[in-house]
This record gives sequence, C-alpha cells and structure tokens, in this order.
Amino acid sequence: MNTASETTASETAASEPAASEPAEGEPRTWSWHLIRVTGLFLAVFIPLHFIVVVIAGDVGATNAGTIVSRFQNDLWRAVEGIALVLALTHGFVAIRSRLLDSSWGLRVRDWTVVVLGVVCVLLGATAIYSLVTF
Amino acid sequence: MTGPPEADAGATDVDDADVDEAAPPAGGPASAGGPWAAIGGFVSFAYVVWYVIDLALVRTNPIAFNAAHRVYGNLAARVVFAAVFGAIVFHGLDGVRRTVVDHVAVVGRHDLVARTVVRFVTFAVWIPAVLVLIWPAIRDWFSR
Repeated sequence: MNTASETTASETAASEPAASEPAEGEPRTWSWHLIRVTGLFLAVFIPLHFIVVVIAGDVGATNAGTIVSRFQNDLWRAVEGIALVLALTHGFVAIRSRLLDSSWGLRVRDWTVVVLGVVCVLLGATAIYSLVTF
Repeated sequence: MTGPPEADAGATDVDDADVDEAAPPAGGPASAGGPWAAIGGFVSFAYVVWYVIDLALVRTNPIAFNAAHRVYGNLAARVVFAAVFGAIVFHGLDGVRRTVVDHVAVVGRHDLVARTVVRFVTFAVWIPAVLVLIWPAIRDWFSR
C-alpha cells in the first residue's frame, strides 16, 4: 500500500510543474529573476548575519560598544551593507509580486506598492548611511 | 451514473492525500513556495527591518540601544529570536530548493525528497541554535 502510494506521489510530483515554476505559458519576468539571484546570496548572508549578530554575539549581552568593535572590521561592514540592500530589494520585489497577484483594488494595490517602495528605499538609505558613517 | 457517492468520496480522499504530499502548492509563481515559505519570507523581512532600525538606534541613541538589548536578553525575546532564526533558515533552504528544482531536472523529479531534505536540514541547524540562544536565559533563571 505504501509503495503504491509513494509511486503515485512520485509520479504526480514528476508530472506537475516545479514548485516555483511560472504557470504554463507564463513568461519569467525580471522580478522573478531578481528574486532568484538575490535570494541565492541571501540564503548564505542572512543566516550568517543572524548567527554572528544574534547567536554568537548574544543579542541580550550586546551593547553599543559591541557594535563599535564589530564595525572596526571593514569587511564585516561591507558584508552587512550588501546583505541589507539585497534583503530589502528581495523583500520589496517579492511582496510587490504578491500584492500584484492579490485581489485588492487597483488603486489600493498601487499605492501600497509605492509606500512599500519608499519605506524600503528609506530603510536602505538609513542602513548605508549608518554603516558608512559609523 | 457517476457511481455510489461513498466510492467517489473515498477516491477523492486518496487523490487529495497523494497530491498534498507530492505536488507543489496550487497557485501562480508568487505562491509556489506555499504558505510556510511566504510566512518565513515575511518574518525574515521583518528581521531585516528590525536590524536596520537597531542600527540607526545605536548611532542616534546608544543608551536606548543598550536598554533595548537588555530586554532582548529575557526568555520571551530569545524565544522570538529562535522562531525568527527558524523562519530564516527554512526560507533560505526552501528558496535554494526551488531554484535547484527549476534548473536541475533530476532534482525536479524528486521534489518530495528535496522538500524532506529542506525540513531535515532546517531542524538540524535550528535545534542547536535554539539551545545556544535560549541557554543564557535559562541559566540566569536558575541562578536566581
């Protein structure tokens, strides 16, 4: 019984389109490519960032002095800057795609995307400014 | 004409069970990762936003930054951070799986195995990280 069920499952998986594949006949857009490329970098950068900042650095024992000493390392600052900009880009484009797929009214949808974009740009500018001028 | 209703219902159940386990979630490209991937992505994005605000705070008001981080040391905050790490790891690994499935046909034919590997590695990374993250709060609790 189990074997038959697994076989059916495998066959179904093989015959269905891949999980993130666009629907049949639907072209892969620039946003799809951007999400994939940034996502591959972020799959390494963000867990690494979290391990260094929150786990190894112990978020509860961190103070301003910890951040100052961490930012003495220019390489770390560069990695943080790249990771944050990529993450904000990835997040904005992914949420934008979700919003465009949603059933919200056209005007509400467009304004939400604009507001989200402005927030992401402001956050990115804040991050870069903080890292460069630290 | 279409047979007994009981038989139809039974057949539908079996079909649904097979499809749920093996087939990718329904929906267009944006929802292809399923609800957990979307939740993981949203939580990861929230972490990035939190970190940028934290970074701005350390520059503008270091005293408030220090006070906020003392709060992050309590057990409840550490549990939240543990959940966030789980979301980040799962979202990252699931994203890599989706990219590999798209580009390597062999992996695409074994999507169920790939999903299982993602879940296994997520827990294999997450569980030790949770212990390291939560242990200081537990130690402090018992040393009172």
